[in-house]
Amino acid sequence: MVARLVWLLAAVVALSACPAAEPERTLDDRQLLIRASLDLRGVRPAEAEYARLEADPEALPALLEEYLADERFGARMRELYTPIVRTRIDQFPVDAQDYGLTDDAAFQASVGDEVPRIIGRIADEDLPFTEVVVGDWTMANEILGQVWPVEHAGTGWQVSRYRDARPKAGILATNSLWWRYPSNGVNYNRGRANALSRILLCNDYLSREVAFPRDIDLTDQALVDDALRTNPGCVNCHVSLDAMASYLFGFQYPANAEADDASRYHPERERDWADATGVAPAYYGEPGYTLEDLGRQIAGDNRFVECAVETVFQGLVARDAALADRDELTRHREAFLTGGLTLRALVRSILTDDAWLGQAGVERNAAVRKIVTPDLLASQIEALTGYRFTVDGRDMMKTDLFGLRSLGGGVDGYSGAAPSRVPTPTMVLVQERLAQAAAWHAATRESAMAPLDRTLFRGIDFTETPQTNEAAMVEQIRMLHRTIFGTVTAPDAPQVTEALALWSDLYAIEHTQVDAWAGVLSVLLRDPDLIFY
Amino acid sequence: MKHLDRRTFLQGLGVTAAGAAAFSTLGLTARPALADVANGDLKFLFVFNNGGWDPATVFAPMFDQQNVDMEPGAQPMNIGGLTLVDGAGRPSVRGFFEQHHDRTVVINGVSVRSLSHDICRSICLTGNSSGLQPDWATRLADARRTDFTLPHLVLAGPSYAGAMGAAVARAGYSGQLDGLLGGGLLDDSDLPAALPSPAAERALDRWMSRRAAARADGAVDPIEGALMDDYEEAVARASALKGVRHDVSFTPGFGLGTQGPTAVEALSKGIARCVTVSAQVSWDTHANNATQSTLFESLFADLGALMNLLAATPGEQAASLADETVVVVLSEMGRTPRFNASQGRDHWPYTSVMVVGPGITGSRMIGGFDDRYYGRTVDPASGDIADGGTLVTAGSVGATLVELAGGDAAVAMPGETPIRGMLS
Repeated sequence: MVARLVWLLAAVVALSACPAAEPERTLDDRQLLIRASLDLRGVRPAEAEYARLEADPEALPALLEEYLADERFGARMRELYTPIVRTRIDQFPVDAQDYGLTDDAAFQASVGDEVPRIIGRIADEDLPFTEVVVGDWTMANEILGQVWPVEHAGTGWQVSRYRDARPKAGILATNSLWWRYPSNGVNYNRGRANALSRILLCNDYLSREVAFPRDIDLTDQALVDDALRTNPGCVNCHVSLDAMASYLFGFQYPANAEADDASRYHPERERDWADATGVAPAYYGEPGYTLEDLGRQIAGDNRFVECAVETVFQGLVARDAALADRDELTRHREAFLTGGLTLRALVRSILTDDAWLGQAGVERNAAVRKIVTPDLLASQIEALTGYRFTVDGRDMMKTDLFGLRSLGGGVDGYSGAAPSRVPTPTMVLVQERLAQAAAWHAATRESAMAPLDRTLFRGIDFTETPQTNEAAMVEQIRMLHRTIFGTVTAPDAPQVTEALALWSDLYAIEHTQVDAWAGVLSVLLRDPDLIFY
Repeated sequence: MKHLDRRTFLQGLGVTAAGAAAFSTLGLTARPALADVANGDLKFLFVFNNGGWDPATVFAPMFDQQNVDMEPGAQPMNIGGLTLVDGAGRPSVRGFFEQHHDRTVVINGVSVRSLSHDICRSICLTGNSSGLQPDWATRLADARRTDFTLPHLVLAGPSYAGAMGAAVARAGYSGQLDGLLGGGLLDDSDLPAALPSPAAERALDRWMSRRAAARADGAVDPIEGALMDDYEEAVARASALKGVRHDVSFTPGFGLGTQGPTAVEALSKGIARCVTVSAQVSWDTHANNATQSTLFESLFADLGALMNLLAATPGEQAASLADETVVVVLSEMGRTPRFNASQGRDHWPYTSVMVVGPGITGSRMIGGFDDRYYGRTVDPASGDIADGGTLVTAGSVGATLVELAGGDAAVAMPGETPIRGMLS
């Protein structure tokens, strides 16, 4: 109840901040419900939820609150941050064989998931987002528990703690982050410090134009070192970057480090900065000693909060934040702060933003239609059909080396290229094959089940043809539209008659009802109204 | 693009689905001599070398500069006006320049403004650090978007599609595109998965094509309209790709030895205007920089074979594909002029680019490195080194390629200065 009141209050505040002219709506309530369900749970609304909304047009806020409270919310925030932290790559410097394990794919996937899992738990359990840099815990599964100095019992992902002497600093003290962002030993953790700055402060030093001053001889290391301290063009970045980098020497590994060395934190190396750069650890002028200090300093920086707001906003509206968003971002930041820095409070506010509602118009580049990410495509199809494309247990929609993540439009874990925001031919092919496999799986499985046990094909017994029982087939197609899109279609609606014609075409080719139904289902599972939301 | 023109093109893709044959109706039939191949008809093959190559190993003969450590045993090499670096055990490097110097331009001292692989990759290929802008190959391909089944085919290497994603397809690091087109990728699915028969698949594709068109026609506003137009185009291209998958293997392999022939097939059959290839080796030699010599020898051996294959392959408009294909060879960054303690070289914000093929003034060195190993400035009109001139940046290389491809850099890439002096 309290949550609903908060939601309604936020909506009222949002509306009161709107200009007098009502922005044009491009999404109706059903479409907004689908958008919310996908963004917050990764699945499409249940039929009962569509029915609630139809029965009571005022039910939308309550439904959104239920979605916000859903246990899958954490997984969605995990996926939202995945392109930001970029830890899900296929090749870390240490592999399974280095530990005597055989399943390298599972090992690499486990390492890559540590940081996203931390963010997921913070979202799930309404922990303050500052836990991401001050938490005294991590997440581990049985593979990491086997090879890293972390507590773990049983199977599956669970809250864990490193057993070595590393500082308690959230993701700053995780192996996976620093394996993902290794330091080559001559750049003295500057690249790593920049990764932190980019992920947590939305301040990417490397995105700045670097006009290497022509009056400095870059071939003379002594002159370079001096320039880093004295040349305004260098100092501008290095005065803060180098000091932040100096916090990270406990994770500095020698070249070709043994797995054991790379698995442990090294307090004995913390002060190696003295010989490397001579720059003592500090955060924008405030000195510190350990990663715990850095975590507290980042958590206390206004930019940390602003960056989280910007990141989640961009993830939910599927575009970069712009100057025109400033007022709304401020409103979301206030909601985030007053909500105890929980991601639910932040997301609740963004759900009232015209940009997310798709009604902000061209001026604010409203998210009229968003395109599903590979993960979102997979999760909604799995929820509808029970099919997930895995090979030897590895999710093919989350890898690049052998899987389909970047071809499906996701972030490229190798080159770092951003997720695609426009449709591509390979994205269409990924959607097609996934839909076909899932549709065949569902039709085959349900054809062997009692009708009442089915979720998709409840209206037929897979023996009908248009000649024997067209009415049942028409009703079945209408049910598929209802289940997948939440629409109520007339028996003679074009989408029904055309689907029936497609069924007949496919039956003439395949000669089995199951295959014909699988074909019909497959085109619905890759329909533009499923791909764009 | 006007809707009618676009729809007509997409229907052509869907109906014929037979690679080059699909475009014979677009006027690409005659085979004129080299001089008659218009810049707008040139094709491009990008060879990306990941990790940052060392210009001083081959491209930058800095023997008289005390600030630059040359490789032990390295010697100056002058071939047909190209001043380069020779080294023991690199016959393929020398052989390449001896055979192709008159069609080769080496651009030295190209600024990439950063020392980070991720950022340099983006800048080197797009001129911008965001990773959200389209790369050169995609821009050039997009300019002839309606003339090719798959304007830009990325067999391997980084790809930045920006807003032009409908014109780009990636083969995948392990050849996943082939597995998608034929459906074989699902053979290993943990849950059993069967696909429709070919005839059923064609029926399903026709359905999706109509559905995509209807969705595009029903867009509620211009923003959605643009998105749905791209979707319709992507659906058509995906379907057309199935039609050419028996003409071209989209399984790239890990080296240029296998990627090169695939690229040539795609270019010669009119499937793509641009292809990007990249051997899956690392040039990031922070230790033992002598590895660069081996890498260059391997690269130039592959490039030599590639050039021979291009020369032996009939072109669409010229006698030989070599006469209508520009090969652009590049790497995201250079390496420090001095060896580090591990006899390696670290990251350096100036690199080199090599361009081989028609439309350029061959036997030419453009730009250079000064005594501090910074890029030298040039007169963009002539391409000659000129104090106080223009620094050659990745953006200016991109703008030059746009003009080489028949485009207008001022329109396509405002603010970037093309080096017109290297264009013939």
